[in-house]
Amino acid sequence: MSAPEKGYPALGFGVWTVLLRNEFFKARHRLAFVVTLGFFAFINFMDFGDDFMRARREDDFTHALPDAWSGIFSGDSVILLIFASIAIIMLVSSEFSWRTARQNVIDGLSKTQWFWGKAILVVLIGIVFITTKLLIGAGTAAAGTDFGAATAPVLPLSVPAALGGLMLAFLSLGGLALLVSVTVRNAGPAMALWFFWITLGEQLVPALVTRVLPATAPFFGYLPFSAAQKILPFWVYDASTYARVVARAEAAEQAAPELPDLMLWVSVNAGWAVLFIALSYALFRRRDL
Amino acid sequence: MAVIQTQNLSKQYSSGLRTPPTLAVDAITFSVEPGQVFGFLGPNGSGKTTTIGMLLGIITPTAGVFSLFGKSGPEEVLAARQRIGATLEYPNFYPYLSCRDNLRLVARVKGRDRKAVDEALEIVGLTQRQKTKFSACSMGMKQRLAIGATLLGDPELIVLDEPANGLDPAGQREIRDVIRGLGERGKTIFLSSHILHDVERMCTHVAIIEKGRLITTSAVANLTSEAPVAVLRADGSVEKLCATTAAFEPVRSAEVRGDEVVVEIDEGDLAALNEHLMKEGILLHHLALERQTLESVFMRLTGGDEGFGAVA
Repeated sequence: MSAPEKGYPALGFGVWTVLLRNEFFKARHRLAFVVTLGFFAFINFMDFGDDFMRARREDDFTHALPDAWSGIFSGDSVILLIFASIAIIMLVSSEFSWRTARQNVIDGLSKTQWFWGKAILVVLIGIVFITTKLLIGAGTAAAGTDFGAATAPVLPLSVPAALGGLMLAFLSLGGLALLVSVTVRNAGPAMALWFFWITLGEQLVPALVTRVLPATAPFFGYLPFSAAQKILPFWVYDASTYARVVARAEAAEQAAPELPDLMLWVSVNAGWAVLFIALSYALFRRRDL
Repeated sequence: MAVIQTQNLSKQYSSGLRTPPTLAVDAITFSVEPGQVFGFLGPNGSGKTTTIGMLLGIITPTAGVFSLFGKSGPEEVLAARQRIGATLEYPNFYPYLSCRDNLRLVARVKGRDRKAVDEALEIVGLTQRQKTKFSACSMGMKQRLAIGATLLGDPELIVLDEPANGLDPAGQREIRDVIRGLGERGKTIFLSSHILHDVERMCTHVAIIEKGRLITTSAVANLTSEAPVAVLRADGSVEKLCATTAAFEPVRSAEVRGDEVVVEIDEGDLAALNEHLMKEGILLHHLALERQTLESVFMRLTGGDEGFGAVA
């Protein structure tokens, strides 16, 4: 063996680079992750591709920037949250069943460093899934955009705000996925638990409880999945889009959606994200590997 | 300065509200000095892996302290672990990655370059199979890969937990040769194994634990240089043979081992013992001297198999 380099760079600041590189390397070689991402891309391609084709066929339908942003950042982004959370659970919990988490620590990472590696992975997955959606959504919309004829900016300032909202919503539910992964330590049961929470915990149980105790309804709106949905639609961030949504609702003689208190819901989502990640860390640190 | 030093190291597991806590490791104290090939022996479930797990930072001790390379603070121990290459129980790698890619991940953590990966693959003889996915590797290849990973970073201390697990005799021999080679290069090796004749050939020192307690720690040469024992067999009750033998004054101890009795006695008193037994009406049909091996010492100290009970 050649002589060791001076010092041990993995333990210094360079550990962040090592963690990022290793997590990225492991994810991109994992077939289950590639398939999940591929399937997500396929769904988006079908959705936005259909919009693109329809815009070419029908005169009264458009799929062009900047109007298309409301379709890209919509309630449908829930699908992104679900797919990305599945990816997190698959990648994190298998580290326990394969005992590679234990081996990583034996190889020289501290438990804290290992955990931060997973936190980096969560952010990385969020970036990858959001970028995929953006590339397909904005790409197909850009293909149908006459940039010379555009009267409004094709990239309004509300886009980065909506992007931030989507990332925050993802961090909240991704944090929950991380929590169940490090607690259950097995992909199948962890995924089941995450879905049970999303379906039973946040849909069925609140529906049953509010039927008996209607006063509890506002409380259930603060639960992670419900809170995440509050900051997904583009009209929450874009005044002109909101005006169109209201006009459309009035034309259809329906109640227009109320503009949520953005600061409140951003805080709620950030609170959930911090709580889930802190809880994950505390539980992970407590248990032996 | 000891490479490993433990002081009353203990681990207690609480299994639940209704079951009492289990003391997996009970106040173990031992030390491993630089350059030693140290065998850590004990029956299944005796606490070997738990002890190693505590030293490697994956299990938190409930009592006691330990130091690595003389360092005992949390940050210092973390830094000291960078000087250790270790594998615990079965080889743990990412099944979907190749042997080489798995080593690359470890190399990054240890701050090593691709050249070190090539060297490790070469040492454990996996250069030709480096692109094979871990999931497609034979048990022998997996064990060799695990040893390859421990060698990355040129560690001063190598910890191997049952490195010959699941290997055929040829594979065991390969691993033995690799470990012996490392020992000859002056590495400190801490080895847990069930294959006692291998340990006897490879290790300079051993510690034997049973039910979480340290029974002995010694140089292998000291343990195996004890006087040979006599093995007696006769028709009739083995218990009667043992009791009659134990009653003969020069006998230091007599123990039943299966259908025979193992006797600690000076070689010069054997003829007199035979005479004593004949007088008591016992006719021996087997009397032989048996050299003390690590296996026989281990069996004696840990109670060995069923029916191995001390009389005197």
